[in-house]
Amino acid sequence: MFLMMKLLRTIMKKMHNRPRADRPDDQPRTLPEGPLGSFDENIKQMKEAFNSCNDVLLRELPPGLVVGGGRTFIAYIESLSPYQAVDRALATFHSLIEKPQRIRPDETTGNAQVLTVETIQDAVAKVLDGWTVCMSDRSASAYAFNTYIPPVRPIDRSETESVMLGPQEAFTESIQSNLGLIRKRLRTPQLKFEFMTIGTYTHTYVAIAYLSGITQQEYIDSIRARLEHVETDGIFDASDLAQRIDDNPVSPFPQYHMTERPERVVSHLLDGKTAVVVDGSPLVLTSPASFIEFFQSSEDYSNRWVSASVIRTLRLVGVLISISLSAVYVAVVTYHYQMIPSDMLITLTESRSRVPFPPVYETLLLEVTIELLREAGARLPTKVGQTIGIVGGIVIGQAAVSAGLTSNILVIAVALSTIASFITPSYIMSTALRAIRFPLIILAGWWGMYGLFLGLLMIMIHFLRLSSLGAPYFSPFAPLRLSDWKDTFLRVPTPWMNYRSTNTRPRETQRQPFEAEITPPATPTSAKWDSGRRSDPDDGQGGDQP
Amino acid sequence: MSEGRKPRRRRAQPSRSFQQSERVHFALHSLNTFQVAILITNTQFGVGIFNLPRVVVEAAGHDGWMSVLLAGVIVQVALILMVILLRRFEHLDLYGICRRIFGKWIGNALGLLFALYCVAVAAVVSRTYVEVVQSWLFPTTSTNVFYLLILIPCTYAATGGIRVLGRFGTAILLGTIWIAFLLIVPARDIQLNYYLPLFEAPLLDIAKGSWNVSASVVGFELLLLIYPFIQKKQKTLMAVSSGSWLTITLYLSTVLVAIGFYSTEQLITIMSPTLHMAQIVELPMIERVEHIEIATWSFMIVITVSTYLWAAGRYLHKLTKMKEATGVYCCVPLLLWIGLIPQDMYLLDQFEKLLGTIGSSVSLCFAPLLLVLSLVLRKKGAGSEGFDQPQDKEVNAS
Repeated sequence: MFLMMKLLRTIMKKMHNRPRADRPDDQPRTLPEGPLGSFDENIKQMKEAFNSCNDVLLRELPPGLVVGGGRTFIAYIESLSPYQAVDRALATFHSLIEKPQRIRPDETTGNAQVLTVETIQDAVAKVLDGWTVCMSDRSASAYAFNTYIPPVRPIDRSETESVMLGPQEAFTESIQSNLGLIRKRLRTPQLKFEFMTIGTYTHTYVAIAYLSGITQQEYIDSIRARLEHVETDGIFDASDLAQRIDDNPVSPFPQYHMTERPERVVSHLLDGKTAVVVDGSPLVLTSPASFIEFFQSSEDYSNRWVSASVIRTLRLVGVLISISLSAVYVAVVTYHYQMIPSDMLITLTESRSRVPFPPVYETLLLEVTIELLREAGARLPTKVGQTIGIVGGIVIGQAAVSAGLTSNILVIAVALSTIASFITPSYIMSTALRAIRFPLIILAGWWGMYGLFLGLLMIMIHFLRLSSLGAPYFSPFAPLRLSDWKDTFLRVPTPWMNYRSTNTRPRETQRQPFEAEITPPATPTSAKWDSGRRSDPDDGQGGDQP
Repeated sequence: MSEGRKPRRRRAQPSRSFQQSERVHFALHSLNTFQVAILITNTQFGVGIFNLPRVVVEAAGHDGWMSVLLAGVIVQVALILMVILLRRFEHLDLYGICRRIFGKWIGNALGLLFALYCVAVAAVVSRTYVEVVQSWLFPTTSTNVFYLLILIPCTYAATGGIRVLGRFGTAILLGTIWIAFLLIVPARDIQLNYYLPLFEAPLLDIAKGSWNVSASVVGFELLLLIYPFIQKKQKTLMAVSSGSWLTITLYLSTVLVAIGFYSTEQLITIMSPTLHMAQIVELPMIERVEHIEIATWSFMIVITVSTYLWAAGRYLHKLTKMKEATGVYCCVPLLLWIGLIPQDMYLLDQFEKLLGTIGSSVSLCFAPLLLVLSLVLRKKGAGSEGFDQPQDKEVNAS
């Protein structure tokens, strides 16, 4: 497989048609380096830099309009900086020049963030960041004012990870509001953010978040180094970035946990993981991730432990069903019909008697149909999507059976495996699991149980070889870490979760004291006491006192 | 009441930071005690158990189960000798020890022989399993295709290195432990008088039975290669002994149930009694559970084969400083070729018997021989050979 990938890469490299060397006079002009020149030179260079960028407003204000007796030049991007903000920036610039004793640059003043700009490149970068750059012929230096108010979507409910219980707000595409959503849940100076930009053209802002007292330094260094090594012209989404910093980029499985939900990120940070927030993406990456995390939902912790455990186990059984049920059907019907109990065999033979194809083609046909339906339903607006559901569920299912294309039992098996794949809370994991179903069906069709089990083995070995940020992916199962099993098939009662999961090797392993022993026992309360002295429960333990 | 409250138990946890010095040693310490035990069990389990009750009973009659116990004791002695040998040479493995005792040329030649032996065992185990699959599940399909197919996961696991193999063992234990419970069904119909009278077979026959068993317990000699990777070296003997005794316990219970369920006369006529016993199990949803059992058994085969393959690849890694994975890839064509030599059952059976003899002698006698030689030649210690030093590449968070 490895060799095949290598071969493919070589072919792709060879097929890439390299452009001829550019003529030197065709090269785009680079910005001049060094400190700012005179006022007129600066204006000329700025205009040259933003040549044909008609959304960038480069305005030369007449003398005396802003600064008494001097000309002023301002540059900003209209769509990122609304005019009210620019207006405030101009007022600040005015006082900066006129009354330098009252306001100084490089400090956050009452109403604006001001920085001194040293070079033209700086000025251009600041303008592109959405700041307003002002310069005047009365002052030698230029100033940049933070007027960045980007167009954003309001904070909304999560669509892909909707829950019944628990907080509903989800991340949006704006990195500021995403960082705010994290910070407002973690009011500690130990929560650190590190910023960097990625993409030679997009200059996307990326923030690494971690809790300094908990997260292992190795992981912080590793994720920082990986992000620094990304060299591309642009990234568009967190999942796109994740594929560039994966341990194994050709694996079908995600190696970073991606979530839209702030409280999930906070719980991961508290578990000693690192988070990567990407501007323009509602997904936040947390790592090191393990396989089981993709089956944990934040609802599990809001729910009571019994129901949460039942649902968790159901999800893990759902994985097995979704990847192997139709393949097992193919293997059993093609080769191992002795395994079916005789009563059921009669029904099965009856329903298959009209089907003209071998089971493997029958199954592939139905699987492809269901995938088509699912994809069509996902792409269409909700109202049309419902119609698709009806068409798919009733018309195709019923008609395919009565037309003799598939058997009844196969319809059940395929429908079950599709539904089972939907209960995986992580969308990216559920699509990966659905994709690996097809090779398993083909293996089962050609080599029966033998092929199917070898295919499952390959998947298992792949899981064992995978790592996320260097930590083992299949962690609580292999390597066996029994203390982490508290959050796998069972979600044990919250007071028992005294230790963080060991997969991230957190610096601080204890999460809470043994609370169950020190919680004061509930006291019988009278209504009088209850209403009167509620705030002092220690006092009331003696009995019913007035 | 507040006086009676227990003091708050806040256990101070030392921060677990991995310092630089620790990390270097971390390199080779990738198997914990549990993984070592399971790995030994998994490499011992192969195709032998399918025929084990018949093989034992042929030699020792209804006292065959004593042969299994005797084999366990012999293995234990061999393991103790092995651990003494390995302790003597600190963190060297078999190839390193050979070089240390015999010098470069003879040591490398001995290592080559052992690597060839590993490949041969891998070939025979996988090939025999394919034969079982064919005779039970697919009587008409081509052997070569099945053989090729099983080599793919074996290679994939072996190239992952010992760390993956250790985890693989744990995963396999979780995936195959249910097979042991299938024994409950035939165990309900045991006739106790089939075991009687005790000690009917002469001691020589029991020993002969043990010799027959020993082909099935081969696999523990890989301790000679995984030793450098064990985290807690002082617990090695405990780990490998418990692994080997787990094997013996499972073998013993299989043989006991088989003898009690069938009888000695009947057992001799059955080719693979273990599988026939699984055949009588009927679950409400599934009949013929042995189909699933045989398919699941591929897990056991794959880990045995891949561990042997890794052991062989390790020789090339040590000899030429190529990557471990490359070494494994180099061994695969040889494995393929050896496995394709015996084209019929008879040849395969001959091959199996030969390999069983070689395997038993190697695993029982090689380590004591080396120990004696090292005592005579007064060689010990790790030496300063560069290839035994931990390498940065192997440092991995786990």
